[in-house]
Amino acid sequence: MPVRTDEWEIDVISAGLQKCMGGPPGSAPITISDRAADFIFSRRKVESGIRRDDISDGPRPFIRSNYFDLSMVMDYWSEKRLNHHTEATSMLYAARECARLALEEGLEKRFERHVAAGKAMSEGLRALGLTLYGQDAYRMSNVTGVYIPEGIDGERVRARMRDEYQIEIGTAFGPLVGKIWRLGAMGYNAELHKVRLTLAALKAVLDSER
Amino acid sequence: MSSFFGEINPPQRLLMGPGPINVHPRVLRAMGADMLGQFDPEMTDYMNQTMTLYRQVFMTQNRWTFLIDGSARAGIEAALTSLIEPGAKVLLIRSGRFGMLLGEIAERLGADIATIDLEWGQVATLSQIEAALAEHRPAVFAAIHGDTSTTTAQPLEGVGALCRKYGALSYVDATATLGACRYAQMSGRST
Repeated sequence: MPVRTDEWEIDVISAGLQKCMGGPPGSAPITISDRAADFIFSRRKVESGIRRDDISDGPRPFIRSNYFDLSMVMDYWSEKRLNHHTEATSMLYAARECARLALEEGLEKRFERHVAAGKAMSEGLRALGLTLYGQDAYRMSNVTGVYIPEGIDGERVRARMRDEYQIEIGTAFGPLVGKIWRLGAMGYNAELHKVRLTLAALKAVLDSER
Repeated sequence: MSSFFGEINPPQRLLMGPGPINVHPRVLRAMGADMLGQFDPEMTDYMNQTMTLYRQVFMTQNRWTFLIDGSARAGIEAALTSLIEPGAKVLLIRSGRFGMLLGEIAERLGADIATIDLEWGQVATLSQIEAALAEHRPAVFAAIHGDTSTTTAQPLEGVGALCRKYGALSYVDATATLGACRYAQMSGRST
């Protein structure tokens, strides 16, 4: 289930670079339908220091943030070039290159690569005798939850993975703290050899902890 | 007393958690390129090219496809802040940490919040979503596509059309899924 904005008819979708796009955190791609943009422009309130005759305020209650006022941000990204914030130049370069890489690879091939890596991760974890968290039918391809075996100190295993193998695996939040690890294989790291390295290191650490 | 620290020199760590992950070297090289003036023609060309590229990544014709400066959360907050008027009715799916974050942001915006609350790791069915839309008639519907806290993806086929039927603007956070997600096990509902 890749992100299919128009097919889903979702009005606004936002994302980041630091997961499947293979980039650093710090830029959030966003897409907005015309009907949502019309609504957002109806809440426009142009900052007083940059007011101009060709951009007027909208009739609805104005957006309660300056930085996150998408009407001004869209006016910046349009031919109006309203001088809102200063675009984060290096992150623009990064985002542009992330998209170029994804399209050069081909979106379908990229989805397949993530599916293959995710499948190798979940099958490999099961082959180690571990139990996966969640439902197979709705499991994301790029991040896999796995129960920490009884009698094993999850944080100690994570620390040993980092210190002895230079591999990071994830902890958990809320009701899942101390219960599961989360293992990702996404973007630049959605590769079979990186999954296998991770599984081999996890096996070695678990074997010596038991 | 003065302090002097060494150059940034991180270990070569393989990041196999829920993100961030190792960055493609071409992206790191692009980030090393020199600055341009904010409205220099080369800079605005790069901005326009980036819009064109992300329309393809998002699989959309939406003219308004661009970048919010900030981490993924800046995108969430920009969308919700711009869509949610004070006092507006908002419908959220909460079945993990990031669904709860949507509620946290909506609360700060003074929204009148209705929720589909599920156990962590569960997904809402289309009929549950339709029932909640019909009951609450929200101005805005918001959900997470892939919630890394539960490693679970919410199916979204048909959700946008339902939101339009009931007069809601729809928002989805695809931070963890843009550029990749299909279900790992290739069930019948994968596309």
